[in-house]
Amino acid sequence: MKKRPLISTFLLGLIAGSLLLAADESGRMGRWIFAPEWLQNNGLRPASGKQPTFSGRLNVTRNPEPARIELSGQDERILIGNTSEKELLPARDITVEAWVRVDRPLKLGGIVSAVQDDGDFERGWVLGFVNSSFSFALCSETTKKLTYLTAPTPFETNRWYHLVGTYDGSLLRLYVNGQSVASSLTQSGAILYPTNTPIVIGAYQDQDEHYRLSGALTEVGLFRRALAPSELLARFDARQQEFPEPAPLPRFVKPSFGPFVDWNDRTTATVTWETDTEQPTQIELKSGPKSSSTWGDRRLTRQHSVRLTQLLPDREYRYNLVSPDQAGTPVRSRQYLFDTSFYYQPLAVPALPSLTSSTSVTRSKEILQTTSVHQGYCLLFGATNADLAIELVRQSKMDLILIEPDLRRVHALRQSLDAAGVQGVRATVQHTPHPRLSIGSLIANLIVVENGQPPWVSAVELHRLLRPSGGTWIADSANTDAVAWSNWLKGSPLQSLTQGKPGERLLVFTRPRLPGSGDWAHQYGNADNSSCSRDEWVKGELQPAWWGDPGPRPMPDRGNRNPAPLSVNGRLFIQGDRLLFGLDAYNGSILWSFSCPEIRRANVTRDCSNMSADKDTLFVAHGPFCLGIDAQTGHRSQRFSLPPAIDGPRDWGFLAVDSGLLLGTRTKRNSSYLGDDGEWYEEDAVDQISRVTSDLLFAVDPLTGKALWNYSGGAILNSTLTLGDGMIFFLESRNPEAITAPVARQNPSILTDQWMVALDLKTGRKLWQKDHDFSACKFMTYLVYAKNTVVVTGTDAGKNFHTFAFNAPSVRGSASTGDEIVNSIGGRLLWSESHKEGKGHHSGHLQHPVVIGDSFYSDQRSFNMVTGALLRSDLPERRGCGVMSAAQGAIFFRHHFHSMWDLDSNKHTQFEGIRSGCWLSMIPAGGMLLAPETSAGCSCTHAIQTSIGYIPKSLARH
Amino acid sequence: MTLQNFCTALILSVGLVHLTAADWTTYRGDYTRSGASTNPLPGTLVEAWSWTSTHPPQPAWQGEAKWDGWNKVFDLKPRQIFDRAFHVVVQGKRAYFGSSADDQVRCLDTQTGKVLWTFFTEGPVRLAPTLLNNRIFFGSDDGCLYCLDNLSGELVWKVRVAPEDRRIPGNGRLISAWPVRTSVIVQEGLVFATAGMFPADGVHLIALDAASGAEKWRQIQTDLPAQGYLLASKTRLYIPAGRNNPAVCDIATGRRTRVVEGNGGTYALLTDDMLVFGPGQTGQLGAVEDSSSDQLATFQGNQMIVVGDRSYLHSDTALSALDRKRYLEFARERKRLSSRQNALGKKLKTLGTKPESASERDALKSQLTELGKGIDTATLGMDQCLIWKVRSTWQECVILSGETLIAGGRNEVVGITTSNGVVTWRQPVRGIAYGLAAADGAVFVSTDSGTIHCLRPSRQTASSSAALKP
Repeated sequence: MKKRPLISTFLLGLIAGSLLLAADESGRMGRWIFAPEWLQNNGLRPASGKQPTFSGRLNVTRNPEPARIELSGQDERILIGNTSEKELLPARDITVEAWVRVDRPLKLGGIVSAVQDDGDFERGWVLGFVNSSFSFALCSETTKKLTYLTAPTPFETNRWYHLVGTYDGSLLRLYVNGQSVASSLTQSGAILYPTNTPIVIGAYQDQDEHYRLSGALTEVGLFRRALAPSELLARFDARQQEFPEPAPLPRFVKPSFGPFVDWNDRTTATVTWETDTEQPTQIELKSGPKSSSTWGDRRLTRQHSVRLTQLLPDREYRYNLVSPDQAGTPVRSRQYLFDTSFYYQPLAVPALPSLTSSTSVTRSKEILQTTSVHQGYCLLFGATNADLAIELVRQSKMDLILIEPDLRRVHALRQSLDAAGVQGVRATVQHTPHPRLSIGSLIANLIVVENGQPPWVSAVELHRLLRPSGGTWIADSANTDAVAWSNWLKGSPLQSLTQGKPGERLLVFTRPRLPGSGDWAHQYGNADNSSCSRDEWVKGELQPAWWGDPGPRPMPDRGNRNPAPLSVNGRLFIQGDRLLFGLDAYNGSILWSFSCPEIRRANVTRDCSNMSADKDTLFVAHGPFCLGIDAQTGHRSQRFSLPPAIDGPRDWGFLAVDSGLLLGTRTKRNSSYLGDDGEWYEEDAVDQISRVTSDLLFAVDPLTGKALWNYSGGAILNSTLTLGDGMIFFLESRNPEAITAPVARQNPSILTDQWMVALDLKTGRKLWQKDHDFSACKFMTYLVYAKNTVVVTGTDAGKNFHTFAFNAPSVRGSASTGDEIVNSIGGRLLWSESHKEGKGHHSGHLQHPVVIGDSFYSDQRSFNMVTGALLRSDLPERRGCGVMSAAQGAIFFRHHFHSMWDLDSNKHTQFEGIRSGCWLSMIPAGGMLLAPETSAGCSCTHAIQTSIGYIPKSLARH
Repeated sequence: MTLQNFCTALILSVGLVHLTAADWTTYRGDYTRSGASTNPLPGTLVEAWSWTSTHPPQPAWQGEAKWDGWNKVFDLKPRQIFDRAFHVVVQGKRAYFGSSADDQVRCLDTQTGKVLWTFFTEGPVRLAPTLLNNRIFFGSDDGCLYCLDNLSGELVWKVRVAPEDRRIPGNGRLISAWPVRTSVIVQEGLVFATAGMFPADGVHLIALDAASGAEKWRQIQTDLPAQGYLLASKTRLYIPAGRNNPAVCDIATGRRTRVVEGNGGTYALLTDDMLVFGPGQTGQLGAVEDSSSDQLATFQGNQMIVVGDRSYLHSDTALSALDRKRYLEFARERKRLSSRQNALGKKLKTLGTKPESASERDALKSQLTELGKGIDTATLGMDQCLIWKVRSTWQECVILSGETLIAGGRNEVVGITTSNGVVTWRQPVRGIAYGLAAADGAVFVSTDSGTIHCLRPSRQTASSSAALKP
């Protein structure tokens, strides 16, 4: 189509439409015009034919022209009827016509369909496309088979076309832009329809398959006659001016930082973002097709903040950030989603008249200030009445359990809690006179003894309940003598009071980290990529310690090879679908969450995670920044910037925290995978196996943000960056084509001339480098370090594993002499091994290795890490598509369900009913096995979808 | 046996729950979860009173994922939610419900809405209680079953179903590791209930003596959880399993007889000869005949009511009446043909492409074509069993009371005439109506805001009704 000025195209369209209506309405059965003026009652008024039923987002617009319905290919459905309604369909002769723009080719695309295709049983017709070729398929009673006509020339995405299929009882034809491009005489006689299949616009849908169109439609027509070629050419000519060529790409403004959405309370949230230049603050907010509002002000600023109020619960709000361009024309960001069902704060205490004593208000404040514990579970012993319990709930975000041995007092306490509006949802009374409490181990964030008396349960028992890494016990001992308290504390860990001593008023004990427990601070456990936390507790028999949110709804689809959850210092960090969560790892309490629609990464198999954590901070890559998020509060307290590049914008790629350093890489903008189309990244296809690379590796001080060192050489494969024993290892391609490519997501065939490089972690000094042929690693390239050995592994196109182990000596002695030795032996090949992958399905060829001690576990085998000696080839069967993770004594994976292989007993157990997703999501840390819900979208009927923490029975009894 | 227990035994040994026209003694009226009552509701219903909880219901689970990315399926239906409202049961002039927010069971006067008594448990009460004579039975997330005197609210007995008393954080509350997440059935003097979430820890199915709470038998499931409302026939118990499919057990022993096939969900209905359950992944009810495990037919819908040869199907967008008997005849024929089609298809595959088997292949293809026609005919026949169909936005629940279908949706409940699908009255409610009960000449509506609305026929319209625009 030629480019025409867009003068009053609306008027032209109306005139052209009217002329056509007058000229050739003979045989017309339906005409559906997707323009705002045809909307009615959340649906579309048909120009003729049946009124369609809409579902999903209804985005009918003429801004800019032409008027059209925009289809995202995700949740829209335009249903005309059912093939059982024979009056809706032509019996023999037919014309199906559409003005269409396709934005994404599909293997089976539909524009209008009334079809069923089950192989042996084919019925109906479909006007659509097969991959990038327009098509028209039809089945007549004579053949009972669909004949597919396809256009010989591929269509271009983002371009408007006039597409028509006709059939006159013998001749089947496909027209593109008024020209016949394919025909067939295979069919004859009446059209054979399926008996019960939807008639839809904007999709290919039969009883088994549903492929939605991603693109736009201006009009669809249906006739019970085959329009002649001349008519179709005239129809094309009459309207082609309405369609710009190609359709202008929508202009999007992207904030330079953010947006983030933080809840203020159940009905109020604040959206924050930054722009490169000073702009007015404006948000367009939609909660439905006809519900739209604009928020903000005209004040020019770079740092924008909008408080959205009166938000309704359990709604999907969509919003655009709006900025004027240089000409003052408003330009919108892409549309962001904010779902108000993702609210995880404790229920607010109702504003009832205060019935509590002023003493309880003061004591509660003192307890919270002294302990600095405000979230999670609080156990209260020795309550004189319910006042302190109510005040602790009011003044904190904790859920409180009042433990009461006297049944006669229980009912009154419950009534008091009920009167204060906190009974149940925020506070309960548990009646238990027993010295051994029924409460699970390690769940209490705070234990309070109110009445000054040593409680009837022992100090050892209370210590059992305290969460490691910060769980705090506090008692007011003013009313009793020091001897009583000394006797009660004697022999228990609580004896090591962290504040006060018997005889003083406040006694405080804070439980330290659990000895022998591990952390999961990076994608594969530690930055050595061993997929092992070295946690000594998690093995043997496990039992649920907690379960609950987040469930599947806020999570990305299970198949996208998403970043692993992390757990450090008793906290659990989960990356949802553009939401971040911080949980208490010991009881599942959600400490914080916020919406961050520009934070997302997928296919970590060919890239790396965008998260890592240390004791108090979660680090998350976000565009050209790395955020430092307070692990306890979720406050975005730090921001690190990338070293600038002179040849274009960059994003933060890899990140790791180790030895007091924050390591990062710089990658070309928009190179990461996002997984927004339900990808599984399982196949040998360029758009699935391409590696994300970086052009700069650097270290900064995470406390000050000071840059410490930079390294640049080749195109660094993000999936290979590995730290261990004060060194950092990676593979880089030194092929100039790879280094200068405009996008850093690169076909493995370009990533030639690969070198393994070792740097000193503290200084960035190069220790050694060796070239090696890793071209066999086609599907993926992993790198793991342990025992002064670096192992590279991957699979070839035939799904054969290839593993190479190299010497990686530690730096010893002076820099000069040490370097000499290291240089001479560093990177020397120690052993290599190849074998056909053993599983044969569900990512068997993508398995990431696990290293525990000297043992290197890969695929179905294990080897000695240093010598390569085969140790065993009988690893338990793993049916699911996830990968293994490990503690010191056990390996975890998805079989049918969550599964564990205990290395001491060689026993394989399953936790029936619960599944993990298609990458790494069961992490042993802090003495717990933590398994956030990651099976979202799984079509299987596994019974339970929940996040869960398992505790070893040995620890539960501890 | 105490005197109290002896009296209870006398009361409870009477036998099956027989639904009277006035009572609604368990979720959806009876143990088949029919949702049907003979209770006539003439004219327009208006609000007589309402009661609202301090906090709204706290369902254990949030919804399903937003989509199935690999299969490109959207609008996935929640398959493990059963507690979005405080479902009401009614006996005489008293209405009862449990609370997932404040852990209490309440008794309200059906005439005034006044709270007559409350009873505290140590965990959320997520499912409607069951009434029999002067007793009320329910379970709690605290892992215990309770039997109270339904007039006074006094405890008669309490039994821990959980194998041990271990409290851990579950769905945001400190509860038993074996919460009671199914309803209670009381039949032939026995109470049937379950406790447990995680099959690896054991999910316990028990029968207790209704009078004393003494345990009669106990079975432990190690493959499925138990979540949702139990169903029962005289010989079988049906145990919903959240996202998975219901298990069927011998009611005399609790021994598993089968797990039916389908796409999971906690909604279930037992008709004379089949189990209907869903909503599966996308809002489909599957029907499984009593004698088999695999599905006979599927229906696009969320809930169903079966009365005689007619069924009413309730979906996200429509309410329809079907000639059920004919529909099932066609469905059986289609299933028979489909089975044959599958078998011949497999046989065709085994023949391969060898020239010597060409004639056999052709014969099979011909048979397959004929079978296909037969399937089409049967499918068409099924489609023609529709008696009426109306557009509906009241997609959350439906019951039948007399000759009126009552359907609930967002902020509204409506009455619909069974003969033609015409809406005869509408009544606003606070929130989304997820629960309905019809008894004592009234309808009790439970919403996600924690409100119980009592609707009664207005005096002005009790003797007449007029159609409203749907």
